[in-house]
Amino acid sequence: MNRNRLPWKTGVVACFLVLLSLLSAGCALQLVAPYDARTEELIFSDARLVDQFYSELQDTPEERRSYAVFAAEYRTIEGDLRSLVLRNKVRKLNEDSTEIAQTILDQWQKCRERHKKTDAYKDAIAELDRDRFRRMFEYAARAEGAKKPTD
Amino acid sequence: MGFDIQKVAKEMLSAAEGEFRDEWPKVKKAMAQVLADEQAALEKIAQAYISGAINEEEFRDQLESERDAFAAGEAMVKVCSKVTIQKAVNAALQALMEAAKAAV
Repeated sequence: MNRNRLPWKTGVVACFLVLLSLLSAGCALQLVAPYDARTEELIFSDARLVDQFYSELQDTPEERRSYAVFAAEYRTIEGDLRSLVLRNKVRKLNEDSTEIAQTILDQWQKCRERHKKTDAYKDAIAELDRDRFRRMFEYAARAEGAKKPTD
Repeated sequence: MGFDIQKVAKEMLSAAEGEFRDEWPKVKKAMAQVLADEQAALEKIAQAYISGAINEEEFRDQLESERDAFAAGEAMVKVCSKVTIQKAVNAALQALMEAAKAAV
């Protein structure tokens, strides 16, 4: 009745061999994309550009902060932020970091549109926006940094 | 050499627990930081509105932006949580691999 059954020990050994080959082949659980040093560099570089932008803006008297004065910088920084989103987007298992980068880009476009529409940028708003960008870049950097292997 | 599944399970659990013990406080700290950041930001926005530095429309606009910034903070915490789980499961798998190698 049981003659077609393999002895259980043989089955266990077979399972071990399969398990060993899987584990030896580097089979491990992957929930997030591996750390990417270039992305981390981009985050720091974009953070510096945005912060510099706000330094210039806040050094300019409020009555001279027309959109035209800053239009070129808005365009350059938007291009850099788009690169950051794309670099995050093309990596597998990277939805959360992509969400952070996309939020930074969306906020940048929102600030740009508001500046364009009102042709002004109040001190109080500049301070709040600058602080928000600083925090969001910090979140992006910490998310990427968390992926660094600890070994 | 034999393969004691009870012993191996204990080793796997212990390996996973070790990772959680090291990593979980980092996740908690990250979440606490996001909440503290948000509280400070909301206080600044409220202060700007009360002092008249921003009008009601700008106040509402700032609150909307804060909602998105908070979501970005949550996404960062999610990454930290996933990394913790990943490390714990892989530590358990590593313990299993070592036990299996020793048994074969």
